[in-house]
Amino acid sequence: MKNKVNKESLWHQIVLNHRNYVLLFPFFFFFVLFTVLPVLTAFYYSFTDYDMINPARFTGIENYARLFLEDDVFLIALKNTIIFAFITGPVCYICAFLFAWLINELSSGLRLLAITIFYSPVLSGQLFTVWAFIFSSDRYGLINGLLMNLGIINEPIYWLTSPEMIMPVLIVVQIWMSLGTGFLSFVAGLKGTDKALYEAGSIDGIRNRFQELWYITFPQMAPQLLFGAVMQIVSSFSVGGISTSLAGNPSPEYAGQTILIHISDYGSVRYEMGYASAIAVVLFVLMFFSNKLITKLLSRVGS
Amino acid sequence: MVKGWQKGLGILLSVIFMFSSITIAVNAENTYGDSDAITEADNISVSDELSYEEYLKNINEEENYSAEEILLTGNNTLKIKNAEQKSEYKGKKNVVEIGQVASEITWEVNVSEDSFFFIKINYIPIEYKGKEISYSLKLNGSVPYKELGTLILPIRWVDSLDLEEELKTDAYGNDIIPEQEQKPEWSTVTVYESRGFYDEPLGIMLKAGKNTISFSTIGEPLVLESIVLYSPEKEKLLSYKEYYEEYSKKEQNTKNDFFKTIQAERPVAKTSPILYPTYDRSDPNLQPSSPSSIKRNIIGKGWENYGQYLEWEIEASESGFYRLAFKYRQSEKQESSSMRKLYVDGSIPFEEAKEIGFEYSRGYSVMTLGDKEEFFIYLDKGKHTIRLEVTLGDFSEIVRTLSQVQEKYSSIYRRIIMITSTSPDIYRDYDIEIEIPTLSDELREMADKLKSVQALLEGDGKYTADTKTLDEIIIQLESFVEKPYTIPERLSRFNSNNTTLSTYISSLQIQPLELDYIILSSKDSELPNAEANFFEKMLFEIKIFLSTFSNEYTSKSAQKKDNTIEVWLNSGREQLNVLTSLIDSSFKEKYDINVELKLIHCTLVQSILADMEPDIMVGISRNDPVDLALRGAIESLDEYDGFNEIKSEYNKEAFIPYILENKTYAIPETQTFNMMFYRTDIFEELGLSVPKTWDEFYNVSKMIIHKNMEVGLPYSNADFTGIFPTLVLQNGGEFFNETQTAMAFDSVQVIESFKTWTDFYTQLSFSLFKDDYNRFRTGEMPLSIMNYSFYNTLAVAAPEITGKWAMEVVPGTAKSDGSVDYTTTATGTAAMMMADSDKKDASWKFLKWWSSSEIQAEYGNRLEYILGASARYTPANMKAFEQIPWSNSERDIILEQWNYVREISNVPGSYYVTRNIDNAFRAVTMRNQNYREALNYWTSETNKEITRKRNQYGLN
Repeated sequence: MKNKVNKESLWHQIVLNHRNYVLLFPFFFFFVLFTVLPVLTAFYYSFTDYDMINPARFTGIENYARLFLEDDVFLIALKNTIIFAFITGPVCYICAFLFAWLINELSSGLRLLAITIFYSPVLSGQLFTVWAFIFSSDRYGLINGLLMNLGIINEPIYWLTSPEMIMPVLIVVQIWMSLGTGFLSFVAGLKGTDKALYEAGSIDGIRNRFQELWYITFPQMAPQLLFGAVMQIVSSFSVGGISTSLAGNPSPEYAGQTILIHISDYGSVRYEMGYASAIAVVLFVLMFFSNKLITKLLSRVGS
Repeated sequence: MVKGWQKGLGILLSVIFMFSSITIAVNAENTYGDSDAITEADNISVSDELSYEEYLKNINEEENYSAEEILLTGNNTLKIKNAEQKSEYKGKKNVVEIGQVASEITWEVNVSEDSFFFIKINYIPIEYKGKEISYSLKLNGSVPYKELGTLILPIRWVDSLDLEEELKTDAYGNDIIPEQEQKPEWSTVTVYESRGFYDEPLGIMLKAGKNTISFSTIGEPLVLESIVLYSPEKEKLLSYKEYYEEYSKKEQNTKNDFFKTIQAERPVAKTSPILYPTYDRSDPNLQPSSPSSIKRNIIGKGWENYGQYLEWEIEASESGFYRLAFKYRQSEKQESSSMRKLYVDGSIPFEEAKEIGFEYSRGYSVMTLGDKEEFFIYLDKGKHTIRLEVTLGDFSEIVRTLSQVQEKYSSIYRRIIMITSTSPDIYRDYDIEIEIPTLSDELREMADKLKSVQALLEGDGKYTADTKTLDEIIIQLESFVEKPYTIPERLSRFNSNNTTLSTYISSLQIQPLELDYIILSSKDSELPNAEANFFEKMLFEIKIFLSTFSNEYTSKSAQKKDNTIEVWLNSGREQLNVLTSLIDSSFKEKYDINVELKLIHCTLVQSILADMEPDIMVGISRNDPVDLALRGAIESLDEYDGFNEIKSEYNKEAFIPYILENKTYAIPETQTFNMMFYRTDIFEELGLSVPKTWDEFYNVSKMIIHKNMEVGLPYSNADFTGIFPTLVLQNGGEFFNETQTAMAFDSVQVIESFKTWTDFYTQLSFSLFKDDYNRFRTGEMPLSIMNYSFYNTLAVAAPEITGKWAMEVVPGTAKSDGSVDYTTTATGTAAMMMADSDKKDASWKFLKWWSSSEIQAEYGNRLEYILGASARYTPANMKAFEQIPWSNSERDIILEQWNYVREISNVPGSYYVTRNIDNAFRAVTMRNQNYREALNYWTSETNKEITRKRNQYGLN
């Protein structure tokens, strides 16, 4: 009975605020069509065996059982993704903020230049392929050539093909790539802070720039910090293109495998869409809870 | 103050990022490569054959010009090897017919005193797939100087349609490239150096008494009428002044208002099928032009190499002097003119016509002959031919000298790296000047030669930018002479200068020129404007813009009919155009089937999912057919009529990758495999013999590496073209067990092969990643195993090492019965039919047509006309391969290897095989794991996947 009342009142609410719903509709429509539906479809297919040509066959939790119990490569992918998400991610996040903070102190012309430089990796999209050139495994590759000329090494290092070197190189490139992710919102946030508060703060006994940062700047920047963090999480969990472009798909001994590559390996190389969907669902769950965690952590900022 | 440290921190952070990577590198240092082992002096003298320049120095040719003319015909031969005397051939008497085998014809010549001759050859080619005829001339049994060893006779080509006929158009009114065909004609050719290094013809010196002269070919057929030895005096031409005076005496009836244009894109003869008409729509004054469709209105793409010519027919209405003008564009060579020789009716009219320069012109210009005063040519009433032939003119000497320097450069570089390796230790004293005592003299000689070239260039006062390039090289050479101890540290620069020099040489050699039309008019007629004015151009552009609303560009066929099949091509734009024109000319009408051809690069799976797949897929990669067939998406072809006839034209192994459970799902299109390439000059220098077996290969590699050079092996983690499959098969191992349900990698043969393979990298530290083309060119890597299509890359793009390298079958493994097994594996592309196609009969007709040897050969040849020899097609159809313009010796060696080709099957889960072989390989070569364990571990992974896939598709 109570439920019914609630439903009625929801409908009632909608009727009352129909203009808002009309305005919301276009976004809502496309959001459902291109985001919610695919997620639900993936969820469905994760319980099937589906090769995209023959009809899907329901197999229950077989895919998940295989994923967690049999798939050794998934563990490598998970490990690498977690390294990207919880080590590279925060490093980038902190660096991006530090750079934004430093740049904020520059004169406006220099600041513009610095912003352009730091943001360019994001703007340029596929530009990270220059790293393939820099880290070329050939003896005439940039870094190999340099090190050999300096007499540090005698034989070229197989940067992107030797299983041990792949992750370090990828981490460097990923850091370079995602510095810009939160960076622009941080710059905007810093610009938007209320200058009067700093004056008030210094009267109230702020002793140094770090106290100023913690007690005044951060609380004012909370929305930008959250935005930056979410973006960082998303980009860290979805590292894939970099690895496939630089180390190949699959990378040697799966050293550069991430969850996203694992998905595309199964989805587009082996045409096992069902299994790929199961991995995607796991990734979705991981991202969802990481976002929750980050939101929680950030709520403590400035307190 | 605060700002200061913040900026500092910023810089520090970025520095840390950069260095974090470098420290990783330091840890991975490897101590191999100690070159102390080489202490003995490596004084290797580079023996060069005699060049024509040196040959001339040894003789006094000018004092020995002979007045007599010696005619060598089919009648007075001394000896004929592999050719046939004929009393008559196409109107000429007493000729020699030379077939498709290496042949030699020898004459005896008696001269009363020492005499110097130029040589002319009268011949007619016999129609053949080749593009030119290679031959050499010998004097008294040997080639007197190296230029006579590599001579070329051109073959004349024409568009295969009448001169009056318009070009054919496609359904949208766009001109189609006319088909090209050979046009054998009797021609007379004076013997010139084949690259244009000598401005004058090549001559030979006959000693008083008996001499023999031989003409030898390597297998391109022709009929030889005669060889004429004549006095160089006859090459002297009138100057224009004399010519004008001479011909002024003749009748002068030219009408004053005579004006005629000849469309340059319609020549009557050309030396290469690549000289087909192209189009330009930038200007409405181009003839013809159209705002809405493609009109092929210019010619000259690829018309830039020495010796290429185009010939046109002109008609003079009356006898008299005429003005000749060309509407041309030469937008590539800013520094200098593009040079042409002008022939009228097969001979050069006056001295100045030997070198006609077309100056740089970004847009189109109209040029008349002559510089300060205009040159007119005298024509009798009636038809004449004019010919423009690419020449190097003044530059021939410069190019020749630079090439000599460049050759020296490579040889010196090689000798230095034999001592220092390509990345010398700069803190070490190598005493190069002691190790190579002649070094400073050689370097100084090179610098002097470059300076003389510079002087020649600057003599004209307008090539300043060019000589700057040389400056840099000269400065380095001179400082090497003064301070030889700095060589190791500047070695990479030395090598890059070598590249600069060879780029510079080829830029001097090419002579690009495009022509729109040729004007033949009376002396004082008015010349047209080359380009339209601003408003005309604007109007034209507007028309082009408007026509974009009505034109259709997306698909290459006209109207859709019921009997239309859809074909997807997984290749490039040129391939699409060639295939379109082939379908138009020989498929559509013959079978009454319309073809909708689309250029699509994507995985087929999505299109199958969306139910939008084509009927036929062409150019699909090796692994896809079986992968898709497993899922029931591909039609098996065994039952179709005529399948077995098609199959018989292929190598017996070619279908294996496309067979699943005894059914064939695709027809191979291309098939390529590895062959061994080596530098003959370096092998000779080092006294190495060509390795025939892997043991020999290992030993030769050791010697090469000992000299600080490299050896290349193919490495691919995507298909079966690496060395490992070759070794496995040669050793008698197999990839899969008999039922193809698991790997057969537990045999001793396979494990030993895996060890041999990884040993090349662990014991001899071969480079995994290398730039084959450049290192082979510079000689850093004198031995390499590569795909056979690499042959053409080298032949076309590395002219400076012509004749210094060769292709051989890959090393083999000796069998117990004494024979050697040269087996290698192959890769390629295929064509297949989709299972869901509702026009299977029509589709099969298309597949049958497409796989037939005529069409495959025609496709390959047409593609080569457009893209040049470096893009030579590698058909899997062996009958088609016979038609691809390889020379006989090249074809023989490729076929020899082809007979040994074995394909490895694709099984469900095949992608895991190459992937895991690669993983095992890396575990051994990069992480020093035990080869047996690594191979076993990764093979068991592969087996799991194969079993899983087979279970999934119910194959067990």
